Amino acid sequence: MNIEAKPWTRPAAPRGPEGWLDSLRDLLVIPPELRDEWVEREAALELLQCGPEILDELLRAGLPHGGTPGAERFDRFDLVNLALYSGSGTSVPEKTMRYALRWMHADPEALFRPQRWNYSVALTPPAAHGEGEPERTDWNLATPHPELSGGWTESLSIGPEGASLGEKDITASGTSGLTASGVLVTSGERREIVSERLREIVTSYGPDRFRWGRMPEELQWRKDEVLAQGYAPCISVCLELAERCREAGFEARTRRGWIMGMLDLAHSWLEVVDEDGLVKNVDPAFVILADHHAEAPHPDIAQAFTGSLLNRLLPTEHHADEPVNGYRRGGLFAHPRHQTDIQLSAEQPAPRETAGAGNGSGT
Amino acid sequence: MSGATEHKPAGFDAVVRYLLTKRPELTSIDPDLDLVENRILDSLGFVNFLYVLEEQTGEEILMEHVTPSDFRTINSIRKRFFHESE
Repeated sequence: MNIEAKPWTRPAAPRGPEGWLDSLRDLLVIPPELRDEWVEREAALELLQCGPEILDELLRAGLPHGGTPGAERFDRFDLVNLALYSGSGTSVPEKTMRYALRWMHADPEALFRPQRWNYSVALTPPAAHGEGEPERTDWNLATPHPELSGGWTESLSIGPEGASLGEKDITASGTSGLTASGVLVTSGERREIVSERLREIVTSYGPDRFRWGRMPEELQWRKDEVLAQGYAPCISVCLELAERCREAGFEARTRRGWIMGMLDLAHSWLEVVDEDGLVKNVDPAFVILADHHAEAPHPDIAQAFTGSLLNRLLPTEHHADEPVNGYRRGGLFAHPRHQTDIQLSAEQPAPRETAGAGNGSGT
Repeated sequence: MSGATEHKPAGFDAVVRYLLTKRPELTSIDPDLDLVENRILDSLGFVNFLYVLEEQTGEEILMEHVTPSDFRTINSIRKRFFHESE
């Protein structure tokens, strides 16, 4: 694969204007059919924290935008990815990422023990659809399956009345929304890749060649286009790895779920059956994020993301290219508004014998 | 060095002062005002606000221990992070 972007390494010290221009050169520009240039110049400056002179230099160097001179408008994903690889250290996306990835500083052993979470999701119609005509609506929300990584469901309530709990989805029709709440226990298990061939495949999309980026799910599904630009967001890289594993004779699938304790963040990873018959979870996006954006990642964290099951993830039966929630009105799909609260419970579970996390051939 | 002593607010008062800088036209914030709906807290400023909160409480705030409602009003911030009643 001919990768367009140069490999990115975390700078030892904050970079100045040249860091911004380098980042622009390697920017994955959100394509026209998925662009949404609604971020105004003032908000862009607040997000980038680069000052107007550098923003003007970026504009002269080709930063894509709409609007008029002095009143430019930008795509939010463009700005976030531009900032993440600027090396400035002060932009909002860089600071947000450092904050959000603090959990990667801890000993990976913390990722394998049972953890109890209070879980709550509420779906409401997309803003553009208002509240009208609930009788023509169909809703779905991926059913949580913590047992796939050794956890369990202590309680789960769904609503409104008439909502149905299925193996793959919680569904409702003719309602103004959909809710699910309860108490879930996630768990994990340390596992390592046994097959040398498999290890070679799943580590081939690492931080030495690829960078992570924020972009619409619909773009991530176009994995060849995204990976060719040197970006490996979770959906794209998992879809690619699942294909490559299957080509090499390994049973593999992608899985979609949520990252726990991140307020509202869906995620995707790879599940592959190793030559010892055990399912190994592989999370190349986490490996990249730890290397490029965590402030002080634990030295063993990348190894934990390459084989082990993690209590930080809440699995569902959805694949990487299936959104975790959906809304249809008159048969047409749209992303609903959603509020997901996943908070660590004040009381944690006592150690418990489980039947074995993730078992042998859960793909 | 001047002889004047500048009193910088600390703790909860410093947090309120920080929030006021987000809306300079305000001189005070109602303790029950919705900070998100009134554009005092938004996604862009949220992480900076978390760092301010950590500095003023002296405690690390982990995402898994908080919910959006903890940041909704001055009163909810005071109760959740400064362990004070309204």
